[in-house]
Parts: sequence; C-alpha cells; structure tokens
Amino acid sequence: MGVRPASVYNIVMGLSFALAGIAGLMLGLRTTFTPFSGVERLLISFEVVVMGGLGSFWGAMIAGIVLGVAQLVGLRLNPNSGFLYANLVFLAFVMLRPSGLFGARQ
Amino acid sequence: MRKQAVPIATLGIFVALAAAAPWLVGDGGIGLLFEVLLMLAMAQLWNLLAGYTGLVSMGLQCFVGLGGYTTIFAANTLSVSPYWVLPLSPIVCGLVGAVSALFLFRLRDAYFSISTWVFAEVVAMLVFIAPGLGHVTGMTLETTRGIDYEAFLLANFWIAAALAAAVVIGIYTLLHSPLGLGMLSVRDDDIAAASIGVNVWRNRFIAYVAAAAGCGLAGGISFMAALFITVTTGFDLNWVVAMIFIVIIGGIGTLEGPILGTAIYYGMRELLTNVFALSGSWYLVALGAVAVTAMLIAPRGLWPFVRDRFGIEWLSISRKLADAAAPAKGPAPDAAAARPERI
Repeated sequence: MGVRPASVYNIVMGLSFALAGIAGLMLGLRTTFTPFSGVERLLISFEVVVMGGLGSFWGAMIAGIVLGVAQLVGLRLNPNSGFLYANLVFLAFVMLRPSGLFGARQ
Repeated sequence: MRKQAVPIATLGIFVALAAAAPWLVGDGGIGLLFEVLLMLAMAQLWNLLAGYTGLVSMGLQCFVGLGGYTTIFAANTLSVSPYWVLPLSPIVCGLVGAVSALFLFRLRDAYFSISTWVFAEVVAMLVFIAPGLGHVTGMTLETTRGIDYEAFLLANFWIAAALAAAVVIGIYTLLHSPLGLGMLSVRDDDIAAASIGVNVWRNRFIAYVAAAAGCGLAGGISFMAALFITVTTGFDLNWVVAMIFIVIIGGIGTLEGPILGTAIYYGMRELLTNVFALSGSWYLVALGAVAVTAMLIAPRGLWPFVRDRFGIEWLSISRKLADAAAPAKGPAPDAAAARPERI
C-alpha cells in the first residue's frame, strides 16, 4: 500500500526520543538528576503503559494518574515505602485485567 | 553414545581446570572466576526461560537478592556456618517462584516481563521495610568470624564451579529429554504446542521454578562470599541486565552462547579496567558498543554466527533426523521428525 516500514520506524523512534527528551527537561526543571536518573523512571513508565494496555493513549493517561495517586497515598501511609503501593496497585490490576485497561483481548 | 563424547570431554576438562585453578591462577584470579561462574549459571537460567520456553523475565534479580538474604539471615539467626543453611536459598526462592508463577503466568509477553520486574521491586521493598533485615544498612554474615578467609573463598569457588557445571549439565540433559522438546515447542508457538498436546503451563512452570531456585542458590553463594548484603546490591536490576546481555550477545536458545557471552562480558571488563586502566564507566560504554555491533553483524548472537560460519558443534541441543528415527518415547516425537533443522 506504499507504506515504508523502515521510515515509519525511524519517525516513531525519533518522535519518542524527542518526547522523552522533553520529559527529561521537565524533570530537570524540578529536581536534581544524574546520568542514571532515567532507569529510576523507566519501570514506572513501563507500568503506566502496560496497565493502560499497550497501544492505548487514554489507557496510559488514566493509568498514569492512578499510579501517581497510589504512590502519593502510599508515601503518606509510609514515607519509606517508595513505589511499593503503586507497584502493588499495578500487580493487582493486571491480575484482574491481564491485558491492561484498554489492551487488545488476548 | 558417540555423540556425547564432546560434552563429556568438555565436562572432564572443566572439572580438571576447576580443580587445578588455585595453582593456575592467583587469589585474584579465583575471585574473578568465582564471579564468572556464578554469572554463567545465572545467564544459562535466564536463557532457560527466554531461550527455551519463551518467558522473558526482567525480574530474576528478585531471587538473587532473596537467596542472599535467606542464607545470611538464616546463618545469623541459627548461629551456624552458612554452608548448612545455603540449601535454604534455592528452597525459599523456588517456593516464592512457584507462588508468584501462579499469578504471573496469567500474563503474556510484555505484560509478563514488566510484571516480573514489578514483582522483584515489591519483594525488594518488602525486604527493605521488614524488621530484622537491616533496613538501609543491610546484613553482615556474622558466623564466619575468625575463619580462614582464603580457604573460605576457595571453597566458595568450587561451589560456584559445581553450580555452573550442574546448571549446564541439567539444561543439556533436559533439552535432550521429551520434556525439553515440549519446552522448545512452547517457545516456538505456545498455541500450536498446546494443540498437539504439550502442557504449556506445566513446562513453563517447571522452567520458572528451576530458574528461581538456581538464581536463589547463586545469590546465596555470591553474598555468602561477599559476607554482606544490602537491598540495593541484592535486588540490583543489573543482575538481570547482565544475564540478558550475555545471552543476547552470545546467542539466545543455545548452551554455548551464554558461555561465549560470559567470556566476552568479563573479558572486556578485565581488558578495559586492568590492562588499559580505564574507569568502569568506559566499560559500560564499550559494552554498549559491543552490543550494537554484535547485533548488526550477528542478530541471532555470536555463537550461531560462528557455528554456521565454521560448521562446528559443541554442546548442540539440536535434533537431527537420526534422533527421530531412533525409537522415541515422550509426548511429541513427531515434532522432532518434522523439524530436522536446528531448534
């Protein structure tokens, strides 16, 4: 149909790198950072996408808000718990819906 | 059994070298080889999951840390030598692996991978906040005070060598058995495997529990030798990252691949940090460069590339038509006959 997969992959990769760069800039504006700051955020960003359902824009948005709130509530309950409560919410959720909020049914 | 001659000779050479190692290399060499052998065992176990049953786990560091904490905690609590409580590490990790598999196996592909990582983080955080496990300061092994440290390290080296050999022999034997054939069919296409009567869930469960127990034992040995564990070192994501690097570079789904990958991983570290005296950060840069180059030249890993280029066999797990012609027992002999190419 005239779609060139290689150039689509290139554009998507470039776009995602650019967006991640903007996210990094925003992060740098409000907190200190090191070359290793990325890995700390990697898991939570994976969780957001998986919980929302791979390929779902609105799913990722809702999941991001849910996990963010879960983490804030968790830190209020126990300041030393880090991402523990957000992680537990994530695990409980994917057990109930193994393909995420709006993911394709497997 | 002439076709087993090469693997048996390999084992013989390995045992001889391991036994003679204290005289061949110095104390520093023993420490390095100890690390190498444990990482080889762990990489083989990650390969057992990803390469042979299609379970891409990002959470095996969970069992490395848990195994380390189990041995040190049990030795301190019971005031006994860590050797007596070392078997507890694979038992505890096997149990945790079995229970977590009941839940995690509901998930597939990326959902499974990310959830195993999240599970590892949850376990790490529970260990971190649990009373009696040292919190931020970690735990020190207390029952080795006054011990002959050199002899302790040498004994640990031989335990690590035994574990590495046991893991390789175990996976080799497994993959030549009917159960192993079932595992390979699960990796290739789990739905097709289920349709010809392979119990997909059971095959994956066995592999997952074995990998959990093995990584637990490796973690127990590693942190017993280090005499010290913290949550950050025990549950470090880099454990699983190293396993993945080694398997992908060396060749996923082969037994030789992780051996080659481990040699490259540690060989480069020694070359850059000792010979060229560069910092650890340069080592990471070099690892990244090697990973990209290797993937461009040999997308299936370096061992398959070398093997096909020079037509050599070492610890091959492939089945050929001759195998299928022999009286085969097991759940799916037809799969071997239909698949004469390498699997």
